[in-house]
Amino acid sequence: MERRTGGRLVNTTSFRLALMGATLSALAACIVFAIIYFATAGSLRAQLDRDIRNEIAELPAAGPPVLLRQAVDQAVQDAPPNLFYALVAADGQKLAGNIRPARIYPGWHTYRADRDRLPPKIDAMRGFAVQILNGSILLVAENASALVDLNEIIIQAFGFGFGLTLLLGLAGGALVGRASLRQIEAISAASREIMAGDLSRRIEPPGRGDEYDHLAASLNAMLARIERLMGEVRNATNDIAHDMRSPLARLRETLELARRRALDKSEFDMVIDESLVQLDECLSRFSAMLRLAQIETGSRRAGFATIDLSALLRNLAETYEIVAEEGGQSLTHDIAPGSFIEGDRDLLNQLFANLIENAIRHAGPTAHIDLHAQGRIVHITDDGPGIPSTEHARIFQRFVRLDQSRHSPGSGLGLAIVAAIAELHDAHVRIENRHPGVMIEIDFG
Amino acid sequence: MSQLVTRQGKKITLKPREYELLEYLMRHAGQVVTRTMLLEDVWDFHFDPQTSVVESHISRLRSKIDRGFPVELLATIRGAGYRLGGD
Repeated sequence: MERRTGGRLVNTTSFRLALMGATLSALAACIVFAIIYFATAGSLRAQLDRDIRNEIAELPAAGPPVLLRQAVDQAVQDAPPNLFYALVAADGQKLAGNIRPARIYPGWHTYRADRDRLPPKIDAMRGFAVQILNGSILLVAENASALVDLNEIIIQAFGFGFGLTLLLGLAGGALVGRASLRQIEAISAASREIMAGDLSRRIEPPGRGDEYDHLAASLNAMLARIERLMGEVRNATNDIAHDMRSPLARLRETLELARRRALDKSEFDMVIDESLVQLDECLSRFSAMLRLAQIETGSRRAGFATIDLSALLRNLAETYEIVAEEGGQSLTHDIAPGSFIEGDRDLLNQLFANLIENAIRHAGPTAHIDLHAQGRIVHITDDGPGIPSTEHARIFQRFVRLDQSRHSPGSGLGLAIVAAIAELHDAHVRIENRHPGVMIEIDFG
Repeated sequence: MSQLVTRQGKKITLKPREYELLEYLMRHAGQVVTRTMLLEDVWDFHFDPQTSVVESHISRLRSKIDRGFPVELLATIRGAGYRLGGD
């Protein structure tokens, strides 16, 4: 388990970020040290070089060799203890001076005590050699122990600082990564437990207002939705079972009675007709459920086309005008032409047909129904008994039937289908009591 | 497009939907057409209405084309649908 955590630690985002941070700080340390180096050791070295050049310039290097030798002897006597001289003949013989390095040829040199023989107590020396006319070489050197010491100090400090930066960065990354991993692990452990058992449980947010709180909140919202959906599925199953029972029980009763009685042909026909009506009712409920399920998947959205809403509503009004009149009711319409929406023609037909039929079926035998459309807003108004305000939110749920219509046929899904189709079209549905009656508004926005 | 319907020289006034229904029945004269066929082909309804859409229109059409004539043209076929003309 510990090993697994360790292995995954390297893969955590916060660890990678920490690693990147450590690398950047190490790079910054390099730059800082480079600047320190050039500001201290660099300028010290430039000072040394300048001193040496000045010293050489004071010696008569271009003059007669004898004079130069005397000048060097003089300089050795007068010079401060940090300056050294050597005049070496072309054959390597030392002519004057107080040092005799093994390596001596024109140009800049750095001599170190561990490589070259140097005067006592001197760790390093920097020198410049020039060749003069007769082939002899003149070297002026200065004690550079301080420079070498400084270099060493800088390098040591740099190594230490660099290592520390890197180490701190990595350790910080490991800690942060580990902490985040622990949080995530706690959340996923809670999720697993919830999935395995009690769906009503929620993930405890760490409570610091950070991303983990957001994550926990999102997961909790998802869990709430899952719980609600599962509840709906359970309820739907109950409702379906409950809803299908009565027509099937009636069918069974009809058949049983018919079997017990001696029947002639005409009675037999009647029983069959009645049974067919009851079966049709069952089948129409099933097809309504399937329809609703299909609409709710949202797959119909792929087939959306531009629909002449005005023409569609006019057709429906002309159709249901006759249905209403045949039943002793009336239906009027006032539909402004030229309104177009993106949608599914079949489903829009069903949406408005369901609402009109709902009014025809529940608004009473002499009801007046009005279909009004202006722009993208459609109103269907009736002057029936209305819908209690407390039920407005509920009537678009599945299988909800208000008490007054409890015993009339119908799937209890008509308005649920309306709500699903409206949602598919991003349309807003609103109910308003009209005293008497009710108005339903569909707003396509 | 003019929609003129006459029976035995008597002019009959139909509403657009009634005219479409009659036209469909005439194109299928002598055949039994089911309620579902009518809903889908005349009304373009691909769902099951909860009110008597077809029955109301048939009744209305029948009252216009058959009332006052000795022979009934539009017959209801029990458990199957409707038929215009024929046996």
